[in-house]
Amino acid sequence: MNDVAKHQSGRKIIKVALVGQPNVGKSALINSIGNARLKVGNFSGVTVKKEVVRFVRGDYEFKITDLPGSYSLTDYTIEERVTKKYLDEDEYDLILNVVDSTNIERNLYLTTELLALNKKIVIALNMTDEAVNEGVHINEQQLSKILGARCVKTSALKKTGIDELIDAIIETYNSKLPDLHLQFSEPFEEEIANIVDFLQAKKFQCKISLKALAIKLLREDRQAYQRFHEEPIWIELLPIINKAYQHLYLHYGTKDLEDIFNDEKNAVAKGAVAETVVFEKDNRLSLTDKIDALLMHQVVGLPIFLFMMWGLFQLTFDIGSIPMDWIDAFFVALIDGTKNFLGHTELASVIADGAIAGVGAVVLFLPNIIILFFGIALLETTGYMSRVAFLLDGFFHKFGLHGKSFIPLVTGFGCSVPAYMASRTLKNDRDRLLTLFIIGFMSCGARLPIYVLFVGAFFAEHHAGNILFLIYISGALLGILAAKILKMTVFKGKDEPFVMEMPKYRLPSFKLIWHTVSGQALMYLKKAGTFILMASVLVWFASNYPKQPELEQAYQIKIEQAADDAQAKALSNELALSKLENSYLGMIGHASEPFFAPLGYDWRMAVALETGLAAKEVVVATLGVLYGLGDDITEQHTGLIEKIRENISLPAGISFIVFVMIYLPCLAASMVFMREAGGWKYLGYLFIFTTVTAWLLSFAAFHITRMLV
Amino acid sequence: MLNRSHDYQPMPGSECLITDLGNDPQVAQHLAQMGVLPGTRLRIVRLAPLGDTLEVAVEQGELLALRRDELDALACQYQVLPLSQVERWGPELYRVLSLAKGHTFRDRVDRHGIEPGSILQVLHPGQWPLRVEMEKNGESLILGHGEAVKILVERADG
Repeated sequence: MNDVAKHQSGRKIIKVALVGQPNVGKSALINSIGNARLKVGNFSGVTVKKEVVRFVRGDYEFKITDLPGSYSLTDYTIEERVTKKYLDEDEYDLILNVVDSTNIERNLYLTTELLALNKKIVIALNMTDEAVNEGVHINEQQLSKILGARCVKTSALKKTGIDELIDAIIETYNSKLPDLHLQFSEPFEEEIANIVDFLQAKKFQCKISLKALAIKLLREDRQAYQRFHEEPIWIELLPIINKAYQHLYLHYGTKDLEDIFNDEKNAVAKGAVAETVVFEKDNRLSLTDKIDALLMHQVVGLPIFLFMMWGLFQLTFDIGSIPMDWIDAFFVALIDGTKNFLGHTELASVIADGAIAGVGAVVLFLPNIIILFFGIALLETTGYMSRVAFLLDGFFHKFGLHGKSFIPLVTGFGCSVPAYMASRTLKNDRDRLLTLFIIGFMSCGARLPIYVLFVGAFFAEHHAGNILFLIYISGALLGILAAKILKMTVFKGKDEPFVMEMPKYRLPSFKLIWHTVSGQALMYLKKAGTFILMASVLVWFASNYPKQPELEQAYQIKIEQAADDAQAKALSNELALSKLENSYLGMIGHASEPFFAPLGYDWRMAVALETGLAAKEVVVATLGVLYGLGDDITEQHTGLIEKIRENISLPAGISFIVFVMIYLPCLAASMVFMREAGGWKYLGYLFIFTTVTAWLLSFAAFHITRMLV
Repeated sequence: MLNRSHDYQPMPGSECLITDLGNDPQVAQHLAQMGVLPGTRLRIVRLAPLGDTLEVAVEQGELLALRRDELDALACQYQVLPLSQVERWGPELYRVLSLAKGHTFRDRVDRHGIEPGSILQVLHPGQWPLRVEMEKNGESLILGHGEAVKILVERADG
């Protein structure tokens, strides 16, 4: 060991690359290690999440990099590319391969590829408890011998085998790298040997073992080819490789090297399974079968799903309103306190009315966000989400979408930012772009406050949940209709192949759900602390400047001369409003009024929509500033509903809801969209597309409602 | 026995042996990653309610969702089919493997002694209603399409 890294404390650092197929419980496994510290970041260049876990065991400090779930080490998907690149180019001491014991054969395909890299490797046979329940018995000693790598049975859920796994890692770390154990078929081995012999004769120096290199060359690995291209040895090597290809083509009767290697992997995995695994009884799927018979039923499957979504929205609304009252009270007290403390100064105003009021309006909706994300995470970890993708694929496909589009789209109901990121599961560029373009139609959690406000203003309380559900559903339907139109015009072309794994049902791990939910909630709060704080202060500034001393003086005199309190109050309201009208915000609102007038909006609603481009939560805050003025601040929330009801007609209100449903998402989401779609021009398209659609439909909504009422 | 015909509607319960992953490398790679390779046996589990997405079980019991387009790209030999689709095999003898649920249906097949293991012959494949002869007693009966899809059969060679 010449490259032993030492920590300042004298501990040896073991760098581990954590690799596994999707849904094998990789995250759950490292989460079950005690005293672990998690650091989340991104892989350089791409926005695939990178999690690094550190913990200390005895004389060793572990640094585990959780690589994205990959079925194999090809260049096929972004996750695979990231994993492959990391394994090929980064510095690490050993690979920890997590394997789903209940699905061992398919998992061993990836293991085979990892073994071919000829690095130190430890294999965690995860989900041992489930495998035993399903009657799958693995002889891990035998398997270790066959694969030439330590195999340890673990269960992330039951927290068994974790210590043994860590010991195995330390042991493997301290031992010499064993020779490559992998045995392929005879012709394959023969050609590997040929290339290795040649490279040895030429005394070729390489970071990886020659056998691993030979396998890469035989697989037509692009990176290996590129690296070799610059070597002088290449000219001599090329005929040998070409001869090897001819031999393999002849033997396998195909010229597809990927096929040939797949066959080899398959043979290795099948062989290993045949020798080490006993399948006791054939009831592996009985429970999943029974649940599926109901949840995926031809007729009742979809209604059950819709009912669950409906229930989730009801919960979001009903339970969420309880802590909302507390949060509201807290921020009102905070605003009062600040003003008392700082007195009636500009500083007090910008902090209390600008920053705290704006951020408070956002934090208010945190309970709703948490409940919604909790529900979505629950559906995901149990394996139900894939079923839903299956149930909906037939329907989605008709509109040019993919069953997998469902996951980003449903995430879009929470927040567009993770939804845009989730659309990466779609491998085909056109499918992904199409999904990206319609995610905005799925009303995000940030738009919820606007709906709550307007629904509260125009509809009876016992209808609120239903109306809200209606808003969300009609937004979604509009979205898929838009997808169909886009698919027929802009995104014509062949569909991406649809092959999706249906994981077995699993009991939810609440630790993992909490992990997801808290991450999302933190992101939401972070947005509140940055974008929304900034936007709130900006809105405050634009609504308070330029100062108009003459106007104020004129009113001040009038107010002093007022006959009674009521008149004085009316006058000060009038002052506030005309101050606002002449502020920068008022000017912008007035300037854009002609654009919004056909939709039934006055300049205040126009301003609110424009500030919503920064963040949707700001719309409510702006409306609060624009309508709530002169009111006692402690009644802000219900007071605003009253004000909306007094100042906005029902048709304009509905038209406003429609506009909010469709127009451009917030600044943060727009930035993520741009990055995921691949350029500014797409953001331009999205802006035009959403604005035109929103305008037209709001126009229709306004006039239809006016005719009906 | 290659199946690439697009007028054929896959039915739950049908089983096929994959002989080739087809010409689309993207599809082939996708399937290979999921453990579907030449020599794998697939069983169609169910169809999605709206449209042409289907769920299949791979040998080891893993479940995959795929679309008609992907299934049609594969070369596969059907080994188990519903009686309604045996015309693909021609007039031969078939062994009943399983019968779907349904009271009236079960009553009727019971009356005629059709049970798993029975050997049947379809007299005029492709003509509806289907005329079937029981090998053991030569009795013949007429089955509607709705009944024929509920009887899964394999070829009874020899």
